[in-house]
Amino acid sequence: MKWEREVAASEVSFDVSPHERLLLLGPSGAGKSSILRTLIGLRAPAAGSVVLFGGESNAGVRGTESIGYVPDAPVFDRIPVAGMIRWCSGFHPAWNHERAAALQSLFGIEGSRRCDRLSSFESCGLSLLLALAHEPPLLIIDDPARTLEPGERQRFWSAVSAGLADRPGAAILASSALSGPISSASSLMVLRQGRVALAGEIGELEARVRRIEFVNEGEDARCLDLWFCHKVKIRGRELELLVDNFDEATWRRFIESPGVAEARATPVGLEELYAELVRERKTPGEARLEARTRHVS
Amino acid sequence: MSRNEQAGTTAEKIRLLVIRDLRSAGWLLVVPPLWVAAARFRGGTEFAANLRGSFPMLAVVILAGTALRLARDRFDPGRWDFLRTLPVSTRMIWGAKLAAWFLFAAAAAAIVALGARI
Repeated sequence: MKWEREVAASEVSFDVSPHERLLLLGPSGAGKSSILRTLIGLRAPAAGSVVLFGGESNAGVRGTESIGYVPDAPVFDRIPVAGMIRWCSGFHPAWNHERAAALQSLFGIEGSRRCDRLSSFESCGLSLLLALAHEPPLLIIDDPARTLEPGERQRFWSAVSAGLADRPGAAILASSALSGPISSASSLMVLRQGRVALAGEIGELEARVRRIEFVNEGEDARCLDLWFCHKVKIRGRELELLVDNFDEATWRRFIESPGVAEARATPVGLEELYAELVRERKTPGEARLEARTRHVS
Repeated sequence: MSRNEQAGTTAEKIRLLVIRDLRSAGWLLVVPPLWVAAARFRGGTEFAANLRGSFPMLAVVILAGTALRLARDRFDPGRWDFLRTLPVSTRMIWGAKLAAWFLFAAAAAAIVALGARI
């Protein structure tokens, strides 16, 4: 998948079941928007394919009523909010007026206000309203809340969570922060520099991610081969690992490995794991920005 | 059929797209009355002849201005993506723009004709 002349995402492959809520997590420039735009058909992939609702098409499902899409930066015409909602409702026979009114009230958007004069928070709310009110089988949210203040961001994701709670269908939520959207998600995929760094169901990930600390008294570090390590910290003979394939059988084999002493495993929160996954690894976007800044200075 | 029952039909989608385009380019309709007023001001007793003489220029300004205004969506990534995520085809979007352009031209011609009679 290429974005302009650079590869935005590659070797990314995932399935979303009809009731799954997938959280695409990654820093800015990790490839989230490119993947979502390709999925919808707003961009064509340089390679690979998209299969949605059983029909294979590199053009995605653009032009159907099956998707509710909240873009990363919503743009609206210069018309009143009530007019915009009425206008959009005309495209969808299944428009849910009660849901639309509830979301409008939740985000405090007056119908007489002009869409292009709404605050960022209100724009996000209106965009969510337009995406949710026609009850699409698939909802896609491309991190519109990333520029909001923390309190507003939380309110936005709470509204998403409430909106998803009482409706069937799948959702793909993209975000650069874990804390807001995690409550709505059932599975997680962390992207780093356009590639998948970690993926799985949230409960399963929480069960298999561990911090392992031990003293290596052996001649080599072959015991490390048992683990998929995201971080290795070495202090003399003491080692600290962050692994994502912990299970009882592997743990038993590990502690019985020659040279492994004083081993202990502790659970790690997803927030901490995500911080470790993206720490000090520059995304293509950040690297470009840094290079440009250096060039200017 | 009520408006709710029409929602989602092809005719309703085209109507909504045309309305949006007319609204987007609507402010350009101030040009013909201004043009008529300017011709009247400059022409005095030869107002009608003066106005007729300036029709080609007026037509070019109005039709090109409207076309540019309607095509603006294509060059604004946010607006174009918004349109393309609606349940309509790209062909329908452009068809509605063409229809809006003709309606606009007819409205402009009517205003000028009315201005010439007054």
